[in-house]
Amino acid sequence: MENLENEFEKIIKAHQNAIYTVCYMFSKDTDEINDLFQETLINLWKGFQDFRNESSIRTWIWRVCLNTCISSERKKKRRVETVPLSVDIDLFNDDDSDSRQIRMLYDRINQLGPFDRAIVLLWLENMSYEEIGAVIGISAKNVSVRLVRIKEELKKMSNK
Amino acid sequence: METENDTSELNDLRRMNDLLQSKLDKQAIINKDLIERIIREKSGTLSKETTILIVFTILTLPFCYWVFYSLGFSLGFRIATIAILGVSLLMSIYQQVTLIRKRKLDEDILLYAEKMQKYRRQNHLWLAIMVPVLLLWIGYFVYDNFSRSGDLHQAIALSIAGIVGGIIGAILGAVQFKRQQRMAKEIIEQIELLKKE
Repeated sequence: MENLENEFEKIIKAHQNAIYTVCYMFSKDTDEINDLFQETLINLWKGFQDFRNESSIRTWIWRVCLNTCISSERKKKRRVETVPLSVDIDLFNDDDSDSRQIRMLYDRINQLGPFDRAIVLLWLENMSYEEIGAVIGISAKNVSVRLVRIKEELKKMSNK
Repeated sequence: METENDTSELNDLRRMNDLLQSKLDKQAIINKDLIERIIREKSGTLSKETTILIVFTILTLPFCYWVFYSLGFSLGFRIATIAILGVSLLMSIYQQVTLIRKRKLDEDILLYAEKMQKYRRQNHLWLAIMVPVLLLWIGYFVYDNFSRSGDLHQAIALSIAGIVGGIIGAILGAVQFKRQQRMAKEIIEQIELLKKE
């Protein structure tokens, strides 16, 4: 069991940035990021013990993370047992120029629907269209078409 | 990585994301306490909230029966009240257990969303059934109240209290139902859009 825990910790640390980014893009404040992040980790741990390598570990992590964030009914329940994350940045309130740029990213991505948001995040992760399709459940061609539509939407947003 | 869709808008996103990633690279994010807490998390079929709801409802059943018995309501009314509460409780448990058992978070996003929508539709249907049942129950309450009470003023007061409470409950239920329908419709539209292309 200890080997499993160590392996889990290693895998999570390798993908922690991606998980945090997704939780940030589906949250409205820092407490929500915290809640979602820990809910995601709990779901990953529960699934890790039964993980059968039917997909790559990266695909599996992104699926669990996105499904958790998209479907989370976090408005109803707020976890009280969360442990503080070792993060000393506040992406919602920090006022340096990088943080303002990051909030622009947040504002643009947040205006997209949840599935388009997921596609953009996967694309930003440098996944191929096939990999993105495997996470979302659509063909690589659909991914390409979707990205064109997303680009058009983003263009409309920046013209407003 | 494909590049044919890289345009200025998407390039901007990439640039901003690079800033985010470089900030996150300097953070530890995960600590030993967190991992231990995650690993210790107990996996149960029912959530804590559902368990509390079940215990509360089980305690409420005999209490409701006793209150209406003390107030002199008919056996038929008491049985109807307990039946409605009991069936609601069983339905809530069934919905929670089904949802948790059917949740497979490692499925692709579309498939998972479709499944969750299916279970949510069942919940909505239940809500749609319960609101008119509640209104019927209020009617029975008023009828039984006037039938059993010798004191007209008390009967009126109790009926008004029951009707006001019932109407508030029905309105809240209807608002919740409409909100859930709207959210479900948005998700379904997006799923259809993704599948169509």
